Amino acid sequence: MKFIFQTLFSRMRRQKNRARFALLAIAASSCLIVWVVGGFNALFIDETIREEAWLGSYDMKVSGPTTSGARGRGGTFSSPLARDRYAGSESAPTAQAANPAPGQDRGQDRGQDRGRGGRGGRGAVGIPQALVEGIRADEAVALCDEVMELRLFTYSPGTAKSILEDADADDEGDKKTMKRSLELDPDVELGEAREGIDPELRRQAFGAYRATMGTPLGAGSPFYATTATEARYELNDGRWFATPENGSVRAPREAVMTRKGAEKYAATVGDSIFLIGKSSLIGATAEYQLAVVGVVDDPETEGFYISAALGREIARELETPLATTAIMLKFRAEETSPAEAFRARWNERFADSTPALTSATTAEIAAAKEAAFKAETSFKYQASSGALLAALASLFIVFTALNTSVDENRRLIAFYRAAGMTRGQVALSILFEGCALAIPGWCAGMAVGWVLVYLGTGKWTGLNSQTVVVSFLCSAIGAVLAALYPMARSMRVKPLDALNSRVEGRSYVSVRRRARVALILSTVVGLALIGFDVALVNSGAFDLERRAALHSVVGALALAIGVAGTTPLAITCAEAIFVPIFAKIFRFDPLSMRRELSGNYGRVVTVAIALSVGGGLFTTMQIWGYSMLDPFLPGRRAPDVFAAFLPNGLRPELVDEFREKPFVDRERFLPVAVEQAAFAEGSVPEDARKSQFANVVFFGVDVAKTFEGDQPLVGVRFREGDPKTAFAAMKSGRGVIVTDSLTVDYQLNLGDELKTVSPRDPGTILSYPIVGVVSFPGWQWLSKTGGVRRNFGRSGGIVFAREVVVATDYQIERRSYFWFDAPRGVQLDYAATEISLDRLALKNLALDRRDFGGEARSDAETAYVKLSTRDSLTRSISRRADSVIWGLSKTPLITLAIASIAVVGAVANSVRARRWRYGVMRALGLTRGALVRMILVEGLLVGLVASTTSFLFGYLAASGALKLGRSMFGTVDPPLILPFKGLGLGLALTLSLCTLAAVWPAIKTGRAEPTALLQSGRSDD
Amino acid sequence: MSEIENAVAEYAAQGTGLVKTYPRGDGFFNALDGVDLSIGRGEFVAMMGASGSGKSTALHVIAGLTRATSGSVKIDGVALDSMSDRALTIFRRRRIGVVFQSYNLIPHLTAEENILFPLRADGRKIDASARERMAQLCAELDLTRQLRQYPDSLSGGQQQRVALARALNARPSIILADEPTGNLDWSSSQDVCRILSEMNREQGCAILLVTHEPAVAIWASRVVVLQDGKATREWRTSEFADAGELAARYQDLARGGR
Repeated sequence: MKFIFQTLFSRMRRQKNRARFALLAIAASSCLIVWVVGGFNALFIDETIREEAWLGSYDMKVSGPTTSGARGRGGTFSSPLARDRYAGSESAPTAQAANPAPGQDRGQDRGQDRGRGGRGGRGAVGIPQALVEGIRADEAVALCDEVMELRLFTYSPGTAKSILEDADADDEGDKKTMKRSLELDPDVELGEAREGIDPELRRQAFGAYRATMGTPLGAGSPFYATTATEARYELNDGRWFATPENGSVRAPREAVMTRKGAEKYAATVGDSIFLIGKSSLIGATAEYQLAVVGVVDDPETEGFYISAALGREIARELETPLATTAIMLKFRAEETSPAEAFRARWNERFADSTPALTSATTAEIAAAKEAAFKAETSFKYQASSGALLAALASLFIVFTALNTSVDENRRLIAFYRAAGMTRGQVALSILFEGCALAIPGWCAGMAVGWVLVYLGTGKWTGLNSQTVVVSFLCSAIGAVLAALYPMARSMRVKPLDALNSRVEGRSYVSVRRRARVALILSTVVGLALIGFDVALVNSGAFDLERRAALHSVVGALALAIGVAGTTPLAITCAEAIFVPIFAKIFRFDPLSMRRELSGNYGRVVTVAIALSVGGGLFTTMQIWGYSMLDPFLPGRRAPDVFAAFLPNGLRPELVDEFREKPFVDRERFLPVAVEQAAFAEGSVPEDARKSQFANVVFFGVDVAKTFEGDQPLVGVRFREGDPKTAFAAMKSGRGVIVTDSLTVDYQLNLGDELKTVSPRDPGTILSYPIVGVVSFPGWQWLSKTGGVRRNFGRSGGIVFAREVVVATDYQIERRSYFWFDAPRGVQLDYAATEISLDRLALKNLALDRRDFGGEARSDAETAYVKLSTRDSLTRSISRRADSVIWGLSKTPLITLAIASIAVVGAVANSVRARRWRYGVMRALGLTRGALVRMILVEGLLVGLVASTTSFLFGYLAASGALKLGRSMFGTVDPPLILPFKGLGLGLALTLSLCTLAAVWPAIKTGRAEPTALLQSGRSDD
Repeated sequence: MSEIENAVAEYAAQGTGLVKTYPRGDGFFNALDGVDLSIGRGEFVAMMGASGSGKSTALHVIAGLTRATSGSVKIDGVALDSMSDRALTIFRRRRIGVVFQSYNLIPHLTAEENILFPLRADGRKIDASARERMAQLCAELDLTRQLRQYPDSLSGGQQQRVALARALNARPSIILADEPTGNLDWSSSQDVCRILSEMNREQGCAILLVTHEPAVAIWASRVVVLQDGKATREWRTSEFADAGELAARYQDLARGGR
């Protein structure tokens, strides 16, 4: 055994570079697995199942109505995160809003009145105080903390700076708006002007900036006023806020940020944050300065914790209702199964409470999160397929390293055999070589991967049992498996082979024949496996859910192996097509490169697969992301501007004044009656009706102006029904057209009756015949603009009906919502338009006060317009989507970068193995430059092959995901979009990485004298 | 390059004071230790020597496959020492034909493609006349039927003839053959020697042939003997009645005689 090790180490010493590169490649592949599995886990999965973190040290959370839930029948749990995600333009029902005065436009909801600057407060419906006290007195409860949520606009010096920086990077329009708001000289650079800007102006600029972002409502920062007197989540930094001392009327102005909040606002302990209440472009009315004293690891929210006393103080000063929205409980330690016992005592009372309350333990939250996560995203699928590909790449890399070793050491092995080593000893030395490379490579890869995951995600979660086992299997066990074939080959080496130029005694013709058979077989098998996945995705034999599950397990495996199988075909095609072209461009004889790639499929397949792990996932992300984005973007046939007058809408005479504004095309001006109503019981499948999106937003419109004529204001494509018949039915009766999301998610089709519950009178069921089902790209944003989600969170779809039908059914007297186009040739000045319409809103308020004897028509103290333009919406949605998609693409890109290390090793070994051939070419007259160019072109070609396989995998995976996830977010059959910018970047990156990987081997080979190359011996042929 | 190409000199190849040093262990080793060697135009010279005497190194230096540590090499009167690597490579593929002991045929190319490789590397168009020239050469070397075959399906003798055809196809002014018969049986060796001799006689192509076999060296007109990196003896083959006599003289020398 000692002798075997001696020969092994002497061989490795002799070929230090090959050993180094192989070690590096194995380390990189191991790192790849840790990164792919650990990175995805850290980013997406671990977050959802980290049970201890969800509720900190609490055991249970009891919550009231959620932002995203329909009154009292929200989800099984309510989490700040869920609220954050859906907050921004949705509102919770409020005491006042629940039953507005007859005839009053429901736009008067206080809940909606969270305009720019954030009116603050979510509504007065909370958990009754008596119930809170009852729970507190429960024998099992050791601790009962109340949480009250406020939503206020926040900015900190850091945030303000980042806003200005953002503006610097934005287009000229945004900068102009910002500068105008800041009263700055147009030539002044925003960065230079950052200091010394008047706070008031900065607030206005903030508002203006938010407006140009297309989110005039803006998402206020959530503030959780809590009675907790110490940190109940892990303190990452600083301390918990102080509570007011006895007798003190003023609570300490302190806040504790969550870790995500600290990251979002780039703030840290010691910074100040500013809260703005009741502000608009016209001016802010209140500001608070809080000191950040700590950062806690609450995984759910990006918000702030403040003391209950401070929360009440702010709410009082802002006249904002504040109610307990959640109760956080810790049970006594001596109780057994305290949660069950507690529920047994309280569930009935929770159900009877108004609103109904729900309770959730940490484990339940984690389970629900994970379930929702699995259902709604393909991240886990991506992580699994990514790990699978990484494992394959790892196996291939080890295999190639060992196979190259056998190639390169064929003569040496023959000498060993001649010197008396048995076949078994030779084979063992190859096996040990595999282990000697794999085990240190695995350890190094894990360590680097662990650190990389931390650097990439900020979490030390890269190493868990899954990543350790998978990477060990792939690297160490994989090394043994990958060594089998090279071992077998080494055993066939005969002592006389030292003098034999043939490959393992086979003629080159035979090798070529074998390669051709391998090409045909792998292509057939590859195409068959790809076809299997495509058939699985499109099969009608299974339901969507089963297909999605099968696709993510069996299909992904088939697709990955199938794409790998077609790689030899891609290699052959790339060689046939591109070698002559590149040879011409880079001035070398194409004969020199003949079969350089197809002469050794395994080598190129290895590199292509290694790169396809990142490249394929990146392509998937890009295609899937931008395809999913497309239906969310306003189409070309949508109004230029959406205006919402809040809180009271516009008096009829002011509507006329609005129509006459110079920035309005009076012929393309549309008042819209809007209401959001839940489905009636029995009208849709019960499971669907219980979902939190089981409601629709009605848009009551002038049918002719909206849909008919040469240039309708709104463009829809009929999926079911005939436009003429449908519009006629709408104009003459109660017919409605609905978005296709309703057919998929709620099984409502043409001819069915759409039945809704009147929000004013839950006993009244309203019914509408569906006369058309339409595809309306971006209906989601339409249901978001101007706060049209009046009663619930997200909606299941939108419904167009005749204006008078909606207005009558839902008792809408005034119009709050208006769609219009700017006159042809007029460039809309956003800020000027908003200021003009703000004045109209204030005029409305003044007239209302006059008519109602000095009292506002509701409790509103101000009035304003919320303005969105099609362009700003498109820009805003695109920006956010870009940020999400590129955020998700970060992992695959880093994966690609890690894989490139393996590629460097693979290319270097591959070039090393062909030095003799290069030596012959050089001796026969191939110049040094031509050789270098040839090797670089080979790298380029490998990159092209890797790009092709990446694209093929990404395209098929994304199209499958789109087909199987077609009802996600209510989108139906999103078009498959190829984002050329992202794909081009991926292509450029892959080509660059492969070409760069070839630079050093090319230079090293080019610098060598022909004699040196010739003396390195033939090993590859 | 045109001046170089048109250069005509008294000697096809001339090496003066050639020294080639390699690192070995802690020190250095002189593979060539001041070799002076001249090959006249159309001359056929054999270089003999024991293993490690530096004969292959000398050939590689003269072929420009490696640079001498010191000394100068001229081919057709053109000094190779001052040439850039690119110029040297181009010069080599146009003016020097190299034949190796292990044939060094490119395994992925057919015999025909191997023969044409130096022309293609030179960017020359393979037109009808080039093909005719190759066909003629192959006919002379009895390779016509092997042109479409890959090297490893050819016998050793056939492979070496392909290598010869490849070296001759570019009409070099000198052929440098490094033990071209080393891997061949006696009959094939004699075939190769006969071909080289015919090329030398009929085409006036100078030849420097490295060998340790007197039976091969006897085909040359002059024999240069290298010992420990130095050219120690020079014989006219006309001095010997046959290869046996040459062998005897060579063995005497190897044993320390004159």
